Amino acid sequence: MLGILAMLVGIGSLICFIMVLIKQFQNAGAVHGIIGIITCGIWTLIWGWMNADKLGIKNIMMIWTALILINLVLNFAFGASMVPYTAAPTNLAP
Amino acid sequence: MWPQFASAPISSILLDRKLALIFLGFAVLLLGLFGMGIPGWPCPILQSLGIPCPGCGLTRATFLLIRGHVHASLTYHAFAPIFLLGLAVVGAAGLLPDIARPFLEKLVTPERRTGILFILLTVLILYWLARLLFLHSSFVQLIRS
Repeated sequence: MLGILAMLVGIGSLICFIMVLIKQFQNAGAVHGIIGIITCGIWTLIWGWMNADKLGIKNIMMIWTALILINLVLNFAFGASMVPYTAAPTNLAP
Repeated sequence: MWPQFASAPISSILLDRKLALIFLGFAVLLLGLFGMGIPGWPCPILQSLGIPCPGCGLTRATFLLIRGHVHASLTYHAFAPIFLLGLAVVGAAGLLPDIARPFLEKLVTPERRTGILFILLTVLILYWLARLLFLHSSFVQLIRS
């Protein structure tokens, strides 16, 4: 049940991310868009909130932020024990 | 030739103290959460599609680099030293007093003129594609570990 919820939240988050990312590519340029991708959406989230009123994407931003918060809570409550600190990887390809 | 340089993102962060502090705050929070073993920012691409994005592993790599595990850090992400350097510059832009700002503003012109960020991002995308195509299973396993 929680797995399905996490998956749905993840997909919703991805859809919102893509919608804002498209706006970012269109309005701020390719460099901003690529930075949005490589920061796993953090830069896109900040940029989206900075331009939410101007671009009329406040609703998308609110939904996306809510989904991220739900995701963080789910990860923290049920996934924390599955993400141990690893000092050094041991099973690496050459 | 590359009109995007006019809106150089690093420059806009360096010239805006508030933005620099937001960016620094996010980075410190993520590194802190990772250091405490708490899952931080969920990558929407990795979580939904199972494919690591070009930046996946960068938090871990940066954390390991700060702790002095250079080899492990570079194994997770080769761009960790560049990211850490960028983070230091952004941190300086957010925290240094106004008297030091002219020095930071000198960094803005080279970014706009040379397009260094665009070049770095292109190399990063190629690096990610190479890992994805030639080391797919070990790359995914490493990021998911």
